[in-house]
Amino acid sequence: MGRCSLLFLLAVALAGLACAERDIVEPIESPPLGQLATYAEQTSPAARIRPRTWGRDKGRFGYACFESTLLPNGNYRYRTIPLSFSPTSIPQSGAVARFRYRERGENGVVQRLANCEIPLSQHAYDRMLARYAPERLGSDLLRVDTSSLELGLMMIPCEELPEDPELAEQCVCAETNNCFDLPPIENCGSSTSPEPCDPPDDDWPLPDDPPDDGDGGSPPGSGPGDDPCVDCDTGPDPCFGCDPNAYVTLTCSATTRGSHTLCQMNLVGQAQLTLGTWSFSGGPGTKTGGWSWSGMAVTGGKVRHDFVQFNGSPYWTQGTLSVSRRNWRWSSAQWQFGSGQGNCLGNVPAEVGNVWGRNHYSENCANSSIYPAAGSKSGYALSQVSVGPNSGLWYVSSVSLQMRRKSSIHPALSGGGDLYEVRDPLQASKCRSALGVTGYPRVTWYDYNMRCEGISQSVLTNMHLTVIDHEAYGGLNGPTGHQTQIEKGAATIGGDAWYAVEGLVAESSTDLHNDVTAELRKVDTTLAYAADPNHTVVLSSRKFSAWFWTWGLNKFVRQEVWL
Amino acid sequence: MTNFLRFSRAGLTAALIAIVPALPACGQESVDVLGAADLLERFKSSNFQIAQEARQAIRGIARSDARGPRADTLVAGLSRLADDPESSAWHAHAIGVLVEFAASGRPGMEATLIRLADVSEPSRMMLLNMVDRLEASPAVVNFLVRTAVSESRLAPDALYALARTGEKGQAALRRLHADGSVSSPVARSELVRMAKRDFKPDRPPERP
Repeated sequence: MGRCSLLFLLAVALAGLACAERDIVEPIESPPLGQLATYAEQTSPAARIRPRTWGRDKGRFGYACFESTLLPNGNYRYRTIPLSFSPTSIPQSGAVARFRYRERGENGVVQRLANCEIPLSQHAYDRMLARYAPERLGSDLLRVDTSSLELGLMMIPCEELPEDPELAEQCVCAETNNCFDLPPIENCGSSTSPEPCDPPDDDWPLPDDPPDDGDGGSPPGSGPGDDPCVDCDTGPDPCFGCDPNAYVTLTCSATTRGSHTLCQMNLVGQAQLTLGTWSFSGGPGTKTGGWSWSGMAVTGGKVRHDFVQFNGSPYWTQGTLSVSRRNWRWSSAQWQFGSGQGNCLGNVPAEVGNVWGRNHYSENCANSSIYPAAGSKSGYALSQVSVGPNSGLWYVSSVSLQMRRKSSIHPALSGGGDLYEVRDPLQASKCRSALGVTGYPRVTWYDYNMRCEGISQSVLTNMHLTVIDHEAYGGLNGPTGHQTQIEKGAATIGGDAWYAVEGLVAESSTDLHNDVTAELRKVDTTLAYAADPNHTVVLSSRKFSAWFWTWGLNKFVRQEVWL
Repeated sequence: MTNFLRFSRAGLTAALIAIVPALPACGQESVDVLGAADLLERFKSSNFQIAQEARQAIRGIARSDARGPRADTLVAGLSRLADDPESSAWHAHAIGVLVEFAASGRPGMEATLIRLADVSEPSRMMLLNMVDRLEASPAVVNFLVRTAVSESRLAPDALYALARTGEKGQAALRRLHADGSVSSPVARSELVRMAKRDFKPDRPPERP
């Protein structure tokens, strides 16, 4: 229990590590077809998490022996020997069995040791006997023979564990690298241990480091010059699949979003395979058959082809589709500003402390900027990809969004706005004299200052222009205005509505409209605060002295105001 | 012994099988395979492209698995970000992404969002902007009404958001118009203007 629990925890932990690393290394080419058991495990997503060769891929990626052989210098040579079995040797259930072999020399030293995973079938068993112990050909499947320490042969389908607890332990033990009471594998791979390293995956031979003799499953004693097909099973096409160096590649041409891509699968070497289904990791598109898949590309991901090997085992290869952004950036050509054209201050009196100007959305009094408004489903166009790896996906095919702002300036500054009834005797007297009226004069803020108090028109005009510039591009009142700041924000990619929608892709137009709306709303928020509403950059830097209405006193009071 | 061993082997195999389905995702685009912690780090990146890709990846998780364990971690992390305006320039954007989890049906998000919106004015504006992705619940409508009444700069945005939330929001606008509780002069004049349109939104709501 403890061992299995530890293995499970190890698998989970390694799974996490594998995922954490996957964004760095992703194989594009597939393993040699003749070495699938080794290479597929190395490169398939499961490779790094699996503590041994069996698991979810039973019967899928092929079979192998892990073998150690004593060399004349006393060290052991380790190798992974891929095995090929014809479809007739492989049960439909995909069940596998362990085949263990050990050979001792006269001095009791292990000369050769193998730990194999093979299909659970008489045919496969006979083949392994032919390979390792031809003198025992004819023995039955499931035969367990541990009577001789000099030659141990075991063929146990672990689903049918022996009654003998000791043998049962051996069966499980075979899966944990410690069968036959051999020493623990702390020296595994160190060349001094005979244990053939039913190995941790990381220690497996690299794909470009094939088994020493490259025999691809040839029988003992066969050398590099032997017919590579001699060990092939007898099937209708005994030589297909025996090319240990055969492999497939899948490559996709890198492209820009909205442009064409071609994904091509290639077979290098000799192998027989049946083309299957193309699919894409980030979308619903599929295609059956063919060596290529092409069409408009709108988003990157993995393009995969599932096919069937010569031996009937399913296999897959995949390549990366890289899609780069279109150069979608908006610029000043898309930014409009209507200075002083708004009416979004409300009816506020001309008092010190009230708002004299405001920079806001062109269409209403909101703080947003993007035109047409987010949520209107306009200002951009959506299209759906019809063929190719990205088929079925929707993307933003064009954009015409703008940033539109305007400013509202207090009407009092230009002579409009409310009329104030002047009842203060002294002030009323000044106005009656200046305006030639009787009773309580009713005057605008502008007229009171200029005509009743004699404030210079140039001062009032400067006040007006200062507020205009404050909401626009600065100038009279300092280095910058709110419109300057928001355009600075719009010039960054964080405030760029075009940039924000360029890469959006979804499986339905509804989802994509929602995504576009959400992104634009975020850009709207970003721009609103890029405008510096809290005046950290856009400062009030000019001081004016004028008369301002004060409701509590119901009269004008001369005050200084920073604009 | 036999049964025990069978159980062990089957359990281990089942464990591996359980792990494996998650693995093909490891082969997809890099940002898709990042863990929640990595996504949160990228979300905070000053590199906008990295931040944007992280936002989109998180949105994908919100859509596909708004209640899963990775979503739990993301929501917790984003909530922490949104709760601390000093921690990141993206604290308001965290609310924008959290809205996606709420829109995908993750329970308990509404109260969280409303609480987080009170952290800063940009946070409130983000929620105002994104509010039509939420159901127009009484809590959401109350948040909008409160903002319309008490805020100065955001009051017009709150009114427009109320109009976009449908009948409940429009009913709230009528009440605001009638009781005169809106203090912002701009918002007051906008209420008058909106009343002439029976408080319908200026543009059709984007929710299909």
